[in-house]
Amino acid sequence: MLLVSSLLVFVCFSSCKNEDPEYNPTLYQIAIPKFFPTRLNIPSDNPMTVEGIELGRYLFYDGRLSGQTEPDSMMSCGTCHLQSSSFECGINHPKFTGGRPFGITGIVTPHYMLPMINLVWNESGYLWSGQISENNPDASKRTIEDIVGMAVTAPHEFSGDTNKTKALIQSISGYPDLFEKAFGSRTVTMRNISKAVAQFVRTLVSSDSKFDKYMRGEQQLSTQELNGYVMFMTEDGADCFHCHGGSGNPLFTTNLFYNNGKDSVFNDPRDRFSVTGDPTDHGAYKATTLRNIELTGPYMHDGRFKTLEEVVDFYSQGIIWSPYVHPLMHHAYDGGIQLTSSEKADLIMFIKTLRDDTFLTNPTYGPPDKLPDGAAPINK
Amino acid sequence: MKFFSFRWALSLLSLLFLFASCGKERVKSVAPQIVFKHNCNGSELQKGILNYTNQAGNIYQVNELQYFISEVTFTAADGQIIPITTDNAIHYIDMDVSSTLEWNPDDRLPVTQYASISFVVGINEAKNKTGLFLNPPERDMFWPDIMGGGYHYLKMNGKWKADGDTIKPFNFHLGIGMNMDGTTFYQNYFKVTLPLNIQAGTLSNVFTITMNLEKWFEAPNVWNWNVTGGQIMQNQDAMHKACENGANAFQVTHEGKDIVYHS
Repeated sequence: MLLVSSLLVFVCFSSCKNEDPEYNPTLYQIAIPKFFPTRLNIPSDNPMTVEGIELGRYLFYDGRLSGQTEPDSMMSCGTCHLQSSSFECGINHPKFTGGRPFGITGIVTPHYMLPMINLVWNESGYLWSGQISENNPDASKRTIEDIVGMAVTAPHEFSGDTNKTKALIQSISGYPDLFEKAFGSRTVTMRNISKAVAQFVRTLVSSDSKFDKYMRGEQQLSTQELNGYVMFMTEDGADCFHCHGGSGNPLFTTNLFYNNGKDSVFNDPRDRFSVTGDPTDHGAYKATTLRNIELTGPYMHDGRFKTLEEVVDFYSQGIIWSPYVHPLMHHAYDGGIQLTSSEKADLIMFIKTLRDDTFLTNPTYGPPDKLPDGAAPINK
Repeated sequence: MKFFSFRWALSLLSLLFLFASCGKERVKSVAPQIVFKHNCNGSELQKGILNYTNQAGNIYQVNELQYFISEVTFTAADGQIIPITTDNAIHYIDMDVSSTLEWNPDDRLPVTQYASISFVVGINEAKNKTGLFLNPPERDMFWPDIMGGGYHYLKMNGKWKADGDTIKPFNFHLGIGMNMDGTTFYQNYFKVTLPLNIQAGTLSNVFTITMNLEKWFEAPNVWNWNVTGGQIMQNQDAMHKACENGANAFQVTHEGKDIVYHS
């Protein structure tokens, strides 16, 4: 009897010991904008918390995430993902000439960048091919969290070592406290680094463009913008909406994959076919969101178009027919949608209504004034 | 002795009646399952392969097929109508998404003699409003507001061998139609009624609705893409003809499978 009682007391104390009174994070609720999806893609093992997001923001902008301390060798997410360019590097980036990013060792990325906008609503896989998705048989390549870990080690990004990154972050004053508040442990792990950054990335919500205001009845579009909108939204017009959304899909992407007729030969080992093995997916890539698209050039997975005008010219007269072109590219056989110059101008005017300055200047998305130890963040 | 025998027999009869009643109570309703299959004149649908020939002689392929059915009702032989109400009585089907090919509504189907099953292809005007679906994949069926709004009833995307053996894309999309100047809108959804032959005492809970794609192009209107062109969203006459054909595109079979009874 005594033995049983002692055991019970021991179990009780053991249980109590695991309850860290300091670990009481505040759940963060994403405010869902009007017309936006109600279903959020947040992994069940990484609920968003105020503390996790705060930590993630520091790490996103801390060049020591690369495990390096030499100024020339430091790199973080914020090195390439600039808020002012809708979290791409932008075509006028002083370091990444022409908008083509490269890693610490100078190796260029396999594809050009995709923006980080509204990813909390993306259910169809990340990157141009969608290879990072819940359907990936490799459990380490499924979520935004996994992409963070991949960025640390990829030769074309940080080209680092997760142990070195963990040790360095652990050694920086302020971080252990933040990890404890966010995850209940002062020990820095790569998984918790990834979780924190992913939480921050999921807060990046664009929902306040001129077009959003038009949809909410707060602002009118100009005649030219409305003409472009009609073009955008009609099958006999430019028929953009089937892949890029619109009034019924404010993300301005389906997040799905299409061969849009850029080429006739397909040998990119990172296209959608590389993920699905479906022959109809040769040369197919994710339809990008058109939000802030005027700031995210160069365009397409290989950055072949420098300006929006070039992109519209391509869809108008430059489409290359092949058996792999998606059927929704129904003007492909004629080389494109054959817009007049004034129709092209109208379409571009409408697309520019998707610029969201609230998003581009939101201080909570940008670099903090100082990192936890007082050091300067990247891009500040 | 006679008295006891009579009482004994009466008790036995009562017990029998009670058991029989209980048995009937148990087998009162079943959980229906609706399964969706697609073929082309009996051949299993093969995605993206140019190997089907329609009534007009167009050789074609299908890459994607997505559609809504709604307002499913079962009509009993005595005229009683049992509606499926789960999910706002709307179900989305995508031939590439296996989870959409089986619908397990929460509704119960009384065990009785059934004469028919009916459903609407598309969504009626009372429900077909933009904003009804905020999440994918249903959201991606949205139909532009300036063309009437709501959602595509059906999207069939593919290619056909056009005149001169050129391969062209088609987007066989159905939804709300409009006249040329965009001032009048037409509700093109249509109701399909298929006979069932479920006799009293037999139990069916799995209903397989099969779409024969070729029927969309056969009768009463022979469909020729060389005439209609590949896109019809802004061609009300073509959409109307397509919907007339679509009424013949479905068949239903039924079976009893792993039946769970409900009282």
